[in-house]
Amino acid sequence: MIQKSLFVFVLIIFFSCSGDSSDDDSTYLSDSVTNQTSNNSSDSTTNNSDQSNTGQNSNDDSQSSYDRSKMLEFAVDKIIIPAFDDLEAKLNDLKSSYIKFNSDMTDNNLDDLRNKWLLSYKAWQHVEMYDIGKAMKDYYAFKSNIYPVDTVRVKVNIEKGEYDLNNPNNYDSQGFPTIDYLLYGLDKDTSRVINHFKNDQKISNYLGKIIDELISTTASVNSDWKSTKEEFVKSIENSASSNLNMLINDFIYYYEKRFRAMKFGIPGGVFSSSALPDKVEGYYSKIYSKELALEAFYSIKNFFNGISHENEDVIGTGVKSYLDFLDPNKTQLLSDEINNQFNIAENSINELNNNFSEQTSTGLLQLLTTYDNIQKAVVLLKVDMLQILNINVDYVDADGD
Amino acid sequence: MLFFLKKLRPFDLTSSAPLATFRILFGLMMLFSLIRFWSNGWIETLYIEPEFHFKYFGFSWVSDWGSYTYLLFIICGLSTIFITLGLFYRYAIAIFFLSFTYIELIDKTTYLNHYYFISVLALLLLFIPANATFSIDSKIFKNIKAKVYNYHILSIKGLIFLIYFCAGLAKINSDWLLNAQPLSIWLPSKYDLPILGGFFFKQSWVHYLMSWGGMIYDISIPFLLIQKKTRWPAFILVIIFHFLTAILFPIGMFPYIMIVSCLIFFSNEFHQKILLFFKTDLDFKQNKPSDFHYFSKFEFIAISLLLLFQIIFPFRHYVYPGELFWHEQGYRFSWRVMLMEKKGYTQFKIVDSLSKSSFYVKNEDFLTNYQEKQMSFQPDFILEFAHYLGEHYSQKGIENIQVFADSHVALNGRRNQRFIDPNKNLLEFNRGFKNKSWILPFNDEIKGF
Repeated sequence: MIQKSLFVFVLIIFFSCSGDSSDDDSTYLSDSVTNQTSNNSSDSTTNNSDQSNTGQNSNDDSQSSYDRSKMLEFAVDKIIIPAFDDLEAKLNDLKSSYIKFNSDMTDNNLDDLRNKWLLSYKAWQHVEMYDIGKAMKDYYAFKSNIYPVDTVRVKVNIEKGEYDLNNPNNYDSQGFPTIDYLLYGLDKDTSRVINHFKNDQKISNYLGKIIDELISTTASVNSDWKSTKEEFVKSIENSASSNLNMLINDFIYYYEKRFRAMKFGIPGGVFSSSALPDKVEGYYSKIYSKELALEAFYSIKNFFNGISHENEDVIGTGVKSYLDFLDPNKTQLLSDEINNQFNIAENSINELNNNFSEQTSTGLLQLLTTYDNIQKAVVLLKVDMLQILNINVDYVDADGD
Repeated sequence: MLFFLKKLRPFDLTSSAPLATFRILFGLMMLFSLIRFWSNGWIETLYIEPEFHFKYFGFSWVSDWGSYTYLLFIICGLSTIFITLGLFYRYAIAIFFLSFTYIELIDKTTYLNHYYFISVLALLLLFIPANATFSIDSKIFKNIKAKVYNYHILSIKGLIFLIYFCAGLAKINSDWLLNAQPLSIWLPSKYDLPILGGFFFKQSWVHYLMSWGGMIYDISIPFLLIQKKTRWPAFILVIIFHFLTAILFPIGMFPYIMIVSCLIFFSNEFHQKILLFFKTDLDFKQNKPSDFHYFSKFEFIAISLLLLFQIIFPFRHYVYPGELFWHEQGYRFSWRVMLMEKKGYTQFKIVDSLSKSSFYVKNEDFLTNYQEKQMSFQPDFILEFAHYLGEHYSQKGIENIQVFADSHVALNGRRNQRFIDPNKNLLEFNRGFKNKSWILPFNDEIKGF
């Protein structure tokens, strides 16, 4: 009798498990099917309205299938990797300027170094969003752009000359904000800053170290993108762990947290009882907060609309085209509403002071209005867009809300 | 009605076999559910990790046991083994009911209709002598012969009948039938399923077919199951339907539990055959019809009250004005399954009413992703969290505190709409069953039950 009972029990478990695992099996199948159709993709079409229909022999008119791999391929090939290449090049320029400055600490060389820092910082704004895979594992975004800088720790590191940049406690004493601090924040005017460098070679050594660190982490993340690209674009199933879903979630997360909250909300005092003027990006150079924020906004718009990083006239398959494909309301597209709100937000950012820190004291209300305009798109992205895309975010049993 | 009930002869003694198979399968299913829950790491992520739990009104005293929550699951798991074996059955089912329900009460974020079903069923089983045969109890307590009456078995059938029927009734609404929502959102997102996903789930007619089919299935299946002629085809339908939902939707164990539960509709002979396959020397005959003794009377009253409650409670939403799907007052515990695609985004503003200084809360400082997601579109969650925040920040020294919600919700494919009145200080409203006047009215109309 026990044997028979056991047999039935095993049967039941088998019965239930077979249902659970069928999801995993299915993804393999659909992967291979979509790969066949995505061979000649991403040679960017300049018009994004006709792609969804190409190569489909479906007898259903408008509802033909959407090539999700192709969308990922465009993002990786035309946006992400070019942005990383660009950043790598700019960081190498920064390094050359640093070498020049280190051997000859003149006003001109400092200017040049500052300029190269700004250019690379702007290039950084185009990669920060892709906090996925290798970048996430290496805490790339943390190491590159946490502000405000822990200046006490920076000074200690400089003095000791020995530190582990991979230690989480050192995340806010390296990266672009720390370079900002070293190039602008050591003293009030340029000549005094140079004097600090001249008086203490350790400062320059530290600067060199953190530039090298930026270069090496960027290079390893970039090369990882290049080597895993083929595999990356295949992961398009609707699960919490597929690259398609993770990338779209990353995009929304970036917009909400690292763009909306960190660049505007936190300094504007949205999450605290008063404004926090020292929490702006580019705090020490003062005049670049707006420029950096706008650059970040271009990267957001580019990713959403599927605009090539190198040539803004090249429009491919982005989130927008995917959203449009699924949008039940073809006469009043959600993507138009989102772009419209993006434009309102961008105009609003354009009217701000170059120096966000100053903006918090001279026109806080204007900063908060800007925040609200950015915020309105968060609702469109997180509620309306996610409803249409119906992305699986977490693995929990549900019975339809 | 009374005549109909009489025809069922509820007080006749009957075979104990259906209850035995039901008990054993129920025990095994529950054990497997608990193991699955544990192995998915959900005890940790859903009960232990969150620093704040959303409570059912009136059950704020229930809390997780920290790392001892595992103990709670072990107790619950052990009770399922006792149930299966039929050893100290009444105690085992009582412990199972209490521990399982306690787990569900820890956090309403995890509310699922099928967890509620299990609680109700366990309570029902407490009044049913499912250990009458094929159990260790029946071996060791020979002198305590439990009596199985028709009404015992009928009550289980009745509960399942109600669940299907209510679920079907709830699907008779304009979103489900006329717009094929939310299936027209959900099915196309299953693009990665083989065969069906590639083409069929993108077709509008498939969405309508499945919406109407689902409604007709839910409404008619209980009628088909109670009749002998249609029982087998109906059961095959049950299997097909639930397997399909298992493949399509992340509903965990629910489909399998329903399939197994529906076996109760089969005849005594069917169940006796199953049991005799395992053990040949069974006697399902109840000992001579005896008087309807005191304990049975108590059982009968308890079961009747339980079923009466189940008939009334799913319809309590008629008491509240406005759209049920929007305000969700009376939505839970009424067998409304897979009816809504609802997404929300809700932020809270803490205001000092005198100095007018204010700030927004980062939900993620208090809630897990899953909790935040569930909170964002359910008004009772929003109110509870607002009160929690009010208390939290008062303790931090903010005086004259007010809490406002900036909330947007989208329902069944509609564009987002403001959900909570942004000018109402939520601290002024108490939790409870009173109509929630601070929810803004729904801009559209959904007709139906």
